[in-house]
Amino acid sequence: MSKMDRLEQHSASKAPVAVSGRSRRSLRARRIATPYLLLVPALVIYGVFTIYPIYRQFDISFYNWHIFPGVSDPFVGWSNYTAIFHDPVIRTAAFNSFLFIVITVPIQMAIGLFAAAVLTDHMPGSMFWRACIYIPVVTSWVVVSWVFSYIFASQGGVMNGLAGLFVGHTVSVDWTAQTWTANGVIWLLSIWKGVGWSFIIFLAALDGIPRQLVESARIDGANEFRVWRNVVLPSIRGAVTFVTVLLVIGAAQVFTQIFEITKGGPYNSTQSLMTYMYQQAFSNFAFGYAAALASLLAVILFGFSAAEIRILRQHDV
Amino acid sequence: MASISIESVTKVYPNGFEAVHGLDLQVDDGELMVVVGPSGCGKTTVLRMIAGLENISSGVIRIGDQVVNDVPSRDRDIAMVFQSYALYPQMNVAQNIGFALKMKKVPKAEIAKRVKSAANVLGISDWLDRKPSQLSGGQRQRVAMGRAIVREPNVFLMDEPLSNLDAKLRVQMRAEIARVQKRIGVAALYVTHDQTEAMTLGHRVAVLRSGVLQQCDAPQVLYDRPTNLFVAGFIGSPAMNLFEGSLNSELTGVALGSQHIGLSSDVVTLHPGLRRFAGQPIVVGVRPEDLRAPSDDRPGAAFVGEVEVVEALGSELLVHFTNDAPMVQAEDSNATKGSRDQDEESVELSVDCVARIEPRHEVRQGDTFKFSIDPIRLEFFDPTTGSAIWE
Repeated sequence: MSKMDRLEQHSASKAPVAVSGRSRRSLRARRIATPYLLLVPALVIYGVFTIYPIYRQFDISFYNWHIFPGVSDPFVGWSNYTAIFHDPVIRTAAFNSFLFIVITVPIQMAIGLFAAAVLTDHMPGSMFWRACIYIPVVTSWVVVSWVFSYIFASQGGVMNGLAGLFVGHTVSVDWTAQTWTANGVIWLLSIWKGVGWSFIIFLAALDGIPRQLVESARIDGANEFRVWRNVVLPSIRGAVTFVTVLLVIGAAQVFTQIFEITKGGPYNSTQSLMTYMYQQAFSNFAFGYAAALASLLAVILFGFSAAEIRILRQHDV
Repeated sequence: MASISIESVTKVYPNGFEAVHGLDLQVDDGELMVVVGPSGCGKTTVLRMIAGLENISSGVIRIGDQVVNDVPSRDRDIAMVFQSYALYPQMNVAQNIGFALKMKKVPKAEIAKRVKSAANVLGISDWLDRKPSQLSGGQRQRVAMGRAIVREPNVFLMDEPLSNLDAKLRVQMRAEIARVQKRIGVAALYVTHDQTEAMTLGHRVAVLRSGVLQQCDAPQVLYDRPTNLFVAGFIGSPAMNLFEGSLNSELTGVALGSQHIGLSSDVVTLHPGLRRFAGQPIVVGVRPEDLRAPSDDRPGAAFVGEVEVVEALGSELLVHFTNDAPMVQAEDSNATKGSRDQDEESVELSVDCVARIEPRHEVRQGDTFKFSIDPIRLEFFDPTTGSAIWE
């Protein structure tokens, strides 16, 4: 059989045939079902690793739950939640988390925006400095927390060594053992490591402002301050909102650096909500209480996320 | 109100690229000067230097009597309309128009009054509360114009302000710009690559190529007496037909391929410089409308060609034809080769000849057609330098 004959035979087999009502219905059902079938793997993974843990956490928050098999988990209703409002450490942790947000977020944003404005393409060596600012972002939290612990160590720490050079005698300040110096170290580390992220977002946002817009403002008589106030900042409002909301959400969940440097001490004075939650669950085995705390934090963060989506939609970002 | 004076201005970028070379240009108070040229010729750079958006490498720019070389943009009292309009997206139309006045700390009531007045002039009073994103291209263009005129500037600069509009709107806005410029009566510099805009808008037109001024004259002078091959090829659509020819030693005729065009003594009187080229090669230019269909009342030299394409435009026929007369392309001429770099986008000339004739003539593809040329309408150029031959 020649190739041509085979082709003809193949076309004949594909010729239109009468389709019954039943097979038409089956074809339609298959067409509708296909996208859902394709979604199944993603939905299963999302369900198992996200939805179910959230449900379980919420469920556990109503029990005095134990991780050990065979031990009973009595239902305690809302008592885990009411306990939160009577826990003095929670107040310290919430205050520390709040302080962490109001100190680190504005400073990161200010430095990030300033660096993005200065390190334009025209500046010599801008690529090197950009890399310098961004590299900490891609390093490990655990590693840099350890590095900072050594820098601020009371014995042989770089910071004490430098201070000693200035004052002329040995300095042995235990930076991480005192509440405010420990908080200072945590803030410094968080700003240093986080600033590159806001920098890169602002760099992209500034790059997206049409050059003619700024030039037009200059011709219209605006000085540099007015150019920034009336043209640049309004043009990057979407990016500013985005960075603010995500940094606040991230800062509210501050954990690793505190856990690695102070473990919440001394005497819980540097605890954050997340480190205290971890301590309650995995040190005190108060899983129900920790789950209640996590649920409350999730609700607060959900509120932030909703606000973020709303604001971003308003500014068409 | 003030004039603009550009004296021996050169712009060299840090990478060594010379965008503008020794430019001299004077725009008088109330004059609308159009700077035209192909992309990359340096015309926008000239505008940006006047606006203070680019530093100049050497030379002097004056606005009125003041040397503005080192004066920041905001202190030059200029208004500029950008190609992209550069409207502030977060401000409404009224805020956009009034922004420059706000920067000058003009009282709010005065700003409102002047914005309203400018909006009335441009017919945009109904859109004052709208954001630029809610406006069409033409409306944005009007707002950009409003923003420029409201501040009553000393100098008005426009950088291809119509290039983002469709053809119909462009014609409309062209007239609008001419009207507005006449009304505000300040020195205006208009940059475009569109020669129709240049010819219709400009009181004078400056043709720029590779940063060098080729000619600056009234539009009709530019068309009728181009100073060199580049201007001849650039101004006019379709472009001037340029042929390699040979002038006989008696100055009584010029050979274009195998054809001979007789020249009367009037031609030599009009172009006395032709005497220097007796018996030598020469470039001959003829505008498409000067290649006519033969008629009894318009005797002229015959020029025969084989018709390749006929474009019927209703009011006229564009007849593309070929013959054995070798054609010159402006970018190939010695004059345009010169020592300077070639433009990236050089003047595009068709490889065939084009004639523009009245539509009643029956011309078909493949015909051998005898066109009539009035020799007095011919232009002559030096094949070595590319300069027009007059004196």
